[in-house]
Amino acid sequence: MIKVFLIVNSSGKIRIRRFYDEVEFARQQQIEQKLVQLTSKLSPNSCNFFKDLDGIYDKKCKIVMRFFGTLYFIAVIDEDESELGVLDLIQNIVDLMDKIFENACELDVLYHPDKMNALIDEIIVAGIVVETNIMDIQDALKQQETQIKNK
Amino acid sequence: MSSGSHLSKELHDLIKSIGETRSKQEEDKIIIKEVQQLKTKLNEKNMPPKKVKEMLIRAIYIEMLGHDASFVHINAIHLTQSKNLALKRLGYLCCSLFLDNDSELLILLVATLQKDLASTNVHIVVNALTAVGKLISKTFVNALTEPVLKLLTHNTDIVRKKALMVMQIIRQLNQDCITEQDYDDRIRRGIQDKEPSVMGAAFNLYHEELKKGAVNKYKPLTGTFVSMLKQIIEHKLHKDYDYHRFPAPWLQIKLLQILTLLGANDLKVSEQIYEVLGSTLRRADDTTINIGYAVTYQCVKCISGIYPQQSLLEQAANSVSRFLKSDNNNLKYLGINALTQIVSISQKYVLEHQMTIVDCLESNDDTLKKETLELLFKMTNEQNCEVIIQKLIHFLKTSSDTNFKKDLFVKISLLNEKHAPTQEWFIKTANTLFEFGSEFIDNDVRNNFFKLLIDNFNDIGTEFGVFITEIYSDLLKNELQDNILKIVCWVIGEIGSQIYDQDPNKLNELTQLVITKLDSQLESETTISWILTCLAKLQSARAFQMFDQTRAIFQKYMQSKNLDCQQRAIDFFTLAKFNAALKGSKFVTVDPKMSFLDAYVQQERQRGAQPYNPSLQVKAAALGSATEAPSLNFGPYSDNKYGGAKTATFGTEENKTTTQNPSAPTIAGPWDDTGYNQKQPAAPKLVVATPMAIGSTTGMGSNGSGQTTTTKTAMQAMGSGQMGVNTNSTQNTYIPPVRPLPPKEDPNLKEKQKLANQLFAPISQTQQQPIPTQKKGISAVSTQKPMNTNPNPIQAPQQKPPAQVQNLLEIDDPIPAQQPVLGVPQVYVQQPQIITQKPIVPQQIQPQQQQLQPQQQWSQPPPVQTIPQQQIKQYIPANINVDQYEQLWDRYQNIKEVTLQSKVKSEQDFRRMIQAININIIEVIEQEIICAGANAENKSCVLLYGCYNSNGSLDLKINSTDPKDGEYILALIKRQFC
Repeated sequence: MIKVFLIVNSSGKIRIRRFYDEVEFARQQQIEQKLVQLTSKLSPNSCNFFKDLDGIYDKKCKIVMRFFGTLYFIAVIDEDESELGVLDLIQNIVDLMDKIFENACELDVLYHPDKMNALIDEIIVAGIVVETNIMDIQDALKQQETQIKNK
Repeated sequence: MSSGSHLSKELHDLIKSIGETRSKQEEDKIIIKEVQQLKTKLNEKNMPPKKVKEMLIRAIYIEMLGHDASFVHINAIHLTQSKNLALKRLGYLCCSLFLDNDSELLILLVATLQKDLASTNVHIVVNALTAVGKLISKTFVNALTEPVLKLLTHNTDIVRKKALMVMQIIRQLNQDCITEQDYDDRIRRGIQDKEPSVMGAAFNLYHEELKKGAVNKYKPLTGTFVSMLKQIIEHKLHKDYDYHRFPAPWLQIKLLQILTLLGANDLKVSEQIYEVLGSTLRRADDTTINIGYAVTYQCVKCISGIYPQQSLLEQAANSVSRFLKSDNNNLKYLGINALTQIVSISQKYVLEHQMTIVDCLESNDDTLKKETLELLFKMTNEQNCEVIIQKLIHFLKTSSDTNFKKDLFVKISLLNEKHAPTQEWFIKTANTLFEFGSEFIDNDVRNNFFKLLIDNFNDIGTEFGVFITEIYSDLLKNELQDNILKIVCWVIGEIGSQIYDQDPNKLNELTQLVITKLDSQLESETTISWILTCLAKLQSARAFQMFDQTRAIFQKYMQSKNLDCQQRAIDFFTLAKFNAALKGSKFVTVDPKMSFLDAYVQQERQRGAQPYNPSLQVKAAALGSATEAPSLNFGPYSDNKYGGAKTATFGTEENKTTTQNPSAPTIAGPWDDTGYNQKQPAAPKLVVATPMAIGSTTGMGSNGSGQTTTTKTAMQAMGSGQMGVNTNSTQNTYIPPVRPLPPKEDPNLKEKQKLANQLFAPISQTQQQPIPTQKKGISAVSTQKPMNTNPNPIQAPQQKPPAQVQNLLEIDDPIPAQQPVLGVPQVYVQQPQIITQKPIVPQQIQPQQQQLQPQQQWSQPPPVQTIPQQQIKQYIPANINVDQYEQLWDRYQNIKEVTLQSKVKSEQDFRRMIQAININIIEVIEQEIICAGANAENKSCVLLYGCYNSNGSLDLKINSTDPKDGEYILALIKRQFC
């Protein structure tokens, strides 16, 4: 299960924050801060996975991190979740963003938090990846958008 | 869309200004301003909804930056009620982001959610479902269960799959909302859904259930999952589900996770999985895309998770080797991870990758290094330990990452301890390790290392000692870091001084070496302390025959400003003065039993001192100070009270024997005051003047003649004395529980007997003595207990007879009712009837006794007959342990073995029986009980083994020094307990 999904820019500002377990707001910020610090360890050829040995979220958890353009995509996952699977899930999300925003960049995430979150909600429900089929998600989102425009 | 651009403009400004801030303070200022602005604007009436939307987005932004925007929460809830989908969606999103699921505002949402869940617009339903998934709490779970469950049959797959997920959350929150059966049915329908996406969601539900432990419940579904996986890998799903032409990888991963849980430790289930697992792995291996590796990795995890299968393990190991050889660190990491999984099943497949793995340590990737270290640590064994440790030490030397080095240091020392092939190797490795990781040596490391050395030294001895002393004295010739110098000092001081304690030259040589270090550059003064201690130890090896040089050094350090050094120097001179052993605690073997005092104790006892008897003291403490008098009697009593120096000596002797007897009767009665103590000086006076004495006599009459009783008393006293010796001695080393008393006591015995004869013969003739006093006496008997609290030793011997009387009575009675009253009724006077032939005691005593104490009515039979004193057998408990018991059992050859039909049907019965015989229980193992006692008369030992049965059959084995004891005890048991 995915515990936390974050999108952070390279200067450490949070762009998307989703916690899938009940976590107090203050603790959420601590976790974010430490995860942001962890991004410094990510280099182009290094491993995208970290064990949460310091217990940022929970010592049993793993952290998957991926960097695109100016954004870090960070997922804290529990021991059962597949690291590579999540890594490709992030890829999936980025692909989707590209399709929806056309050449997605950080500003799109900022200006359209509603769309961004809707996109994530299509993929992750209650911390579990329910949909990975890009076409399906795209369809669902497009339908919503057209309905919004029509109204 | 003007409003859209307008929204972008304001938001854009905010984002831009925040982006330009240099500090948190600046950012805070902007945010505070922004919040003020938002607050006033949101309070304006008739705000167009689109404006509200824009403001909410700004609020999201503010919250995302970690500031409080709770003032917009209510607006978010308002927005959810909008008919516009975009606004509704934003409203729900804001609620999901802002509200905790214990927020009080949620109650305002419930009605809207209920309405929206029932909406005909799919997108409204989807948004509402998403919000329910995040916000649902115990409070509202009941209100929302029904509408969510209805959606499971919705005609849109997006709704169905989200409803499934929400259903899982509902069940987690409140099990009563959905019955288990209903829940199972619904997920099963989920995996049968025609839409793979719904099916995929249902897999998650199964996975969660399995993780919670419901493995057995779902095992029958293994076949279903296997065939689903098979269909997926055979491209039976729609192409939409392909990801880079790889069929539904996430579904595969999920299914593999489920199968891993189902097949764990279960051969039958695993057998169903093997085939599909093999082909999944093969197909995943064929791809070169990331997600393919993800499936491969999941397969490997599955293979190592289920019941192991040879060929699959090999296949997995091959796949993993591809991971390891990859340039991609992610894959290497997963490869290492996978190997860690496999290594726990079989080392075989991992060892071939040994060097690749070791190379991963060279990576500059932290995660990878840590993971590799973990794996190496797990896979090291005696065979590869040299190679691996060498490699690890190499990394320790070269690495600059302190955390990693620390990790390495700990791991290497553990591996070295665990797997080092030889002692030499161990020491050398440890030294290298200390050399390159000296900064990590702390007290724990040192102490641990010292302990290992000393243990080894104790095991192996001189050879090892010489070896390490050589190594460490060689080290002294080099420049050393303080941390290592400390270790060297310790080794030379502790082990070197022991090895060469006969070789002054060598000691001198070592001393010289150590002394040179005092002049070297030291990092801290504590090191000097270590050196001084080492020197002191070396000196102590030759009984402080000091080299002048050393003396000078210590004198110098007595002036040291460092208190520790000074203290050590002073201590050294003090110790030298007394030539104390400085060599370490190993040479002081603490003897908790203090056996070195045995000789002294023996000597003192023969002079008449009382033996120490812990049990008596405990008893005394437990009983409280019922008798106010001092609890212990030391030395002879002044017999003023009773007159006659002779009594005094007599009393001393008696006291000595009785006080120590754990089984000593706890009665102190006035009647024993008189006992036979007074008789000596003047027997007639006794009879007349002290009615208590007569009471006692009559009391004893129940045992038989007064004469006999007295004798018994004497013997009893001896017996107890004997026991005293025993308890005493068994505390130290093993001594057969029964040891002849010092002959010294014999004259006493005779004396006593003589006295008794003189005394009691007349009494028994004049039985009718004042009854009231008698009563008083006896009542006192039953109340006053701890005999050692009795101030007068002379009373002691006399205390016994009543106890014996009572015990005797008890024995007569199948259920010894008196025992609990007595508290410590260990003294048993044998049933006269068995052995005695001649009735001696006149019947007349009896009425009197009945008057005295109703309990004693039971004792009618015993008084009828009396035994010639030499035939009376009394037993006393023997305090031996099981080992001693076994030794004795082997020593004695008079084993009697019988099976009886008895009244003994429980442990309690058995204990009662043992108590009646007055021997003691040594150990109880279920229905088997072993006991030991000693014949008070001839000190012969009796060992009894009994095994009772609830049906009354009683197996007995009695072993004794004297076969007669066996027969006797057997007869006793037969008579009373069969």
